[in-house]
Amino acid sequence: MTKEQTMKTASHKKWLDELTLELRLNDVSGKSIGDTLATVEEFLADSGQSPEEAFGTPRRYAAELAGGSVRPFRKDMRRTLALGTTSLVLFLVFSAALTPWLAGGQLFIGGLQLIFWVVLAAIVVALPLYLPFLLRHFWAVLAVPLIGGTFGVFSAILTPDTADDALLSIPPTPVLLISVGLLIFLSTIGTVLNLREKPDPVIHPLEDGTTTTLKARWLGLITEWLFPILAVVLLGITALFPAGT
Amino acid sequence: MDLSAAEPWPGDWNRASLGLCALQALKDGPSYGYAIITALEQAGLGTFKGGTLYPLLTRFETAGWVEVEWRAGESGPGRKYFSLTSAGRTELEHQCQQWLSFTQSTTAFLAAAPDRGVLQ
Repeated sequence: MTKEQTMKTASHKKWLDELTLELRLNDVSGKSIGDTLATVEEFLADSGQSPEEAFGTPRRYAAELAGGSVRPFRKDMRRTLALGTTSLVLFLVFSAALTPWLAGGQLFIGGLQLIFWVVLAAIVVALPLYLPFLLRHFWAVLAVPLIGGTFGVFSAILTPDTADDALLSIPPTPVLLISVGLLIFLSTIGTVLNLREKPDPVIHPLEDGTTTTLKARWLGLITEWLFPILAVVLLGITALFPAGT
Repeated sequence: MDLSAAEPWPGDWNRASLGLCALQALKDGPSYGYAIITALEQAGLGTFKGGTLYPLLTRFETAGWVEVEWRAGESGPGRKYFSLTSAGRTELEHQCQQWLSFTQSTTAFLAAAPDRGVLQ
């Protein structure tokens, strides 16, 4: 393959990936997406045109196809992300309560720390408003765990050292138990919904897509239990390497 | 004089006639996207993009006017063939009659005496 052909293929692939994302955002089923991608590839091979030349931008083309009532599919992407981000907040609460619990002390929460948590909760609640933007920009998707991590670090830094500096002084055990309980509850809910939901992989119209379905399902189930797994890992690390050692 | 070769038809005209012409392109049997566009182009109807044709054909499929069949390509990615259903043939005949009537009225209006217009 020549360098020009490689660049052309890479450019086509990028356009097709963006189209897949846009169609997903328009609630188009995996089967219809596979059909659309194959149609585009067929037309590009026939005409020798670039995807932009023949179909315009992926966003506009997906909107036109969705307007043409491509068979809709009920997949609640917001549900998945809402569960994930709520779990992230719970995980941050868990990590804040972990150290004082292991040290046998109280969980101190400062005013600034509380503001940080409220802002983080607001960001999570407002997620549906900016979700399409996040998904369309890869750097923005990377920014989410980065912001979450930064909040976690700031939250830890701002944790008051004494009860006098704290706005709230509460026993860490109930906080820890509630956060762990909720994390397991949300993961169980996610698993049940994941198992009930019919898998919707992108299937090429001339291929059998059943082989990829099983892998995708397992990956989905592991993702549902990501935060409880991380909580166990964090518990192990904090217990092995307590603060101040 | 071949006007279409000298100057493209106004976009509104192309958009208005594309549906009917796409149905007509399927009248003789199943065809695929690029072949339909090439047939329209060769008939002097102008140049159409895949991004304009396929959403239209998808709407026709939803309406039950066309059905699709994928056929494996020998070396390419495979082809999606569109063919008219019986409802599609009925729709084509109906739209053809309407179009002829419309163009006759338009032609007659354009050829009429220039004093027709606002009543004095």
